Amino acid sequence: MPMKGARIVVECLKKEKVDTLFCYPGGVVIPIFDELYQHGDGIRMVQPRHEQGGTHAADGYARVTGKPGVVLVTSGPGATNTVTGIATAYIDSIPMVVITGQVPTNYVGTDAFQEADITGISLPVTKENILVTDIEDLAPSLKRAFHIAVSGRPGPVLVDVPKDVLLATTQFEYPEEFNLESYRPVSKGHPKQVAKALELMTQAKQPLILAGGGIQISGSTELANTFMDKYGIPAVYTLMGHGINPKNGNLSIGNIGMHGTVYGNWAVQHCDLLIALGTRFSDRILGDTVSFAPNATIIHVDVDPAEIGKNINVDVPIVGDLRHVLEKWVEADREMPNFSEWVSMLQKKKADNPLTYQQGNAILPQFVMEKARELFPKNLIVVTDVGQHQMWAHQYFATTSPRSFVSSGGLGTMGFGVPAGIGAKLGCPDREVLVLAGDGGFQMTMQELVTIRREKLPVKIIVLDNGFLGMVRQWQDMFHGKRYSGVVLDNNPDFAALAQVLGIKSQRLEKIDEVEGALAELAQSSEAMLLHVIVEQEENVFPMVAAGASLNDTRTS
Amino acid sequence: MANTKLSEHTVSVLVYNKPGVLSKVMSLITRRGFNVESVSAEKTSGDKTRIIVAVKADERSLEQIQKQLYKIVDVIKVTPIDPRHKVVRELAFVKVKNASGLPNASNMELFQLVDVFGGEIINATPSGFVFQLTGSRDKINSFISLIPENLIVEIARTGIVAINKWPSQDS
Repeated sequence: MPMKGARIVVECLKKEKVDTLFCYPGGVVIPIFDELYQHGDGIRMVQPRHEQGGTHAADGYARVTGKPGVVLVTSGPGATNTVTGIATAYIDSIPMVVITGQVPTNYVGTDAFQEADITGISLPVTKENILVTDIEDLAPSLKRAFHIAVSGRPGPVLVDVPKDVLLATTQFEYPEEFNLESYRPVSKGHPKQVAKALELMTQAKQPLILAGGGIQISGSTELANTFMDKYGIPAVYTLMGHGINPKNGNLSIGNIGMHGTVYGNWAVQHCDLLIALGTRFSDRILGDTVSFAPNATIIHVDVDPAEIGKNINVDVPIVGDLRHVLEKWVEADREMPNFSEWVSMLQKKKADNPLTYQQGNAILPQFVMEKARELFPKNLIVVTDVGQHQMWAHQYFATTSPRSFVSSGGLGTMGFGVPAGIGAKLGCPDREVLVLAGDGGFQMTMQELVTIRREKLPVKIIVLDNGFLGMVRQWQDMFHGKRYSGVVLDNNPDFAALAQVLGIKSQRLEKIDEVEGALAELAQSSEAMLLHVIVEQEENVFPMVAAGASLNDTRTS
Repeated sequence: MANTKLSEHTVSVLVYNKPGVLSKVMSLITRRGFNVESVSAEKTSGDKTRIIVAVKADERSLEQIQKQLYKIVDVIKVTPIDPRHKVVRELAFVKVKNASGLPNASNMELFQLVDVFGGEIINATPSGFVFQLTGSRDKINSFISLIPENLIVEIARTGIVAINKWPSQDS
């Protein structure tokens, strides 16, 4: 049966088993919405208040499920509004398919109403993008998009479809397979390199795993835990690497980097073998590259060859799927030296340098997080926005399962939290989702509270309000003579009252003795709820390594 | 990482001849911070196009460019051109004024120059000439530098095409 392009889009989504579609209508995509109305059974259409929110929501959905987040928007402003969301997903390797409407092909290039060159604009922030100019290419392009988004190193793919293509008709046939000579992601690590790395482990005295986001992306968390327990090798983790949880709890040391723990950073600086798994060695992890892990031989496993040797020289590069490499290492069943002395050394360092804060009269964000952690169920999904609270969450909310710590790591996108929380809840409706946001980031996308209400999603939100853009203020405090330029948010609205108006249960907290009760209510609420917490204004995040400084210079005050 | 010793490198990129693929390749090279010295592209067979790009880069960055290029879905193969073992050619048209009657210049000298450089006069009128040159970038640069500047009206160059030679029999 011949079908219109618009119907083909819907049928392709069904073939890909898309259950949730983050979509916002507009002129040129009316035909797709029309087909969704008639034939969109099985697809939940979630309409954000802004396309950026929809894209972050799709991202949150993808981060917790591992399935691609799917977005449908109109041409021009609809498409350009997705760009921040796409860039956020791209740098964190999140699979996403973004379908944008485009003006009819004969209008392309004429500056038509709501025309934007979105394939041009999104070029540097997509894994692949496609302008479909022929109805015959539509289904194959969508197949290509879904395949590329999830395979190899995942990422967002944009498909731009002009209106006349949506209205043209052809026989619908969804390709079974996608096969392209130029696209062959590496799956298996080179056996020689895999063996060589294992050999180095048997010779090491103080080996350390650096766990990155690639572990959860490749679905290898369990394997990584097994690998650690089997050989007794301890691990530190990056912001994207939350979730490792070996049976021997002593092996999980802590986080590293700019706001890493003293002991985590110390471990890196004192290991003799660094086993880096699925990390891109970002500048937030490395600090000064020259003095990073000075005594260590470095093994680097990543599925993307371009990450190897990009930011730091490595001794044993392994390009391949982490799952395969870890399987080989576990299967090899090698005799390893006893690393327990090294682990004890790290544990002692940990005991001597705990994360601390001085809770006074004003509420501290760290205190709120510690309490929330106690009161929420263990299998909680934490979603952060960006800034100081994100780093405290990184320190105080170490999660013990994969895909449970959702945060904009690479791009550092303020406004990510609330919409990503929506996507996380839609992806994992049976788990508690707690969004942590600062007063700055919250106000960038707070209109999505309306979406939470409309979709009846029991998302829990804590807004930590210090009346500042806290992280920038901290830098101004430490490096710019306390000249608080452009960071004062002294006219914040009452967010609790705002939530009430939007139909969301809320409470405003100013006193320390209100915190516990309110958090308990938040944790137990069966509907969405927001806590507006007025916190200490000038608390700084420590430990901290200044930008570009050595991890040896991890400051605690 | 800071670039250390910059030198010119040539990379041959085989791609599927899809709309936008040239801009994908060029945009990637420039946004990763490399200077493009020269570029040329043409369909070579069926659905494939070969793009030859010369960039200023150090060895390490060159490796990074190649890896990044492979991440473009339509890039099939990236081949670095071996500087010790390559053939490089560029074609240039140089449009010059008729020199007769002008001080410090003569048409005879111009024609001799074209002859010495193995070029051709492909257009000759009372107003002036168009010379055609092929050769390495250096050769074309030196040809141009030898023509009095006030005679040159316009220059059009293709950018280089390059290919690795067959390995020599004795190596």
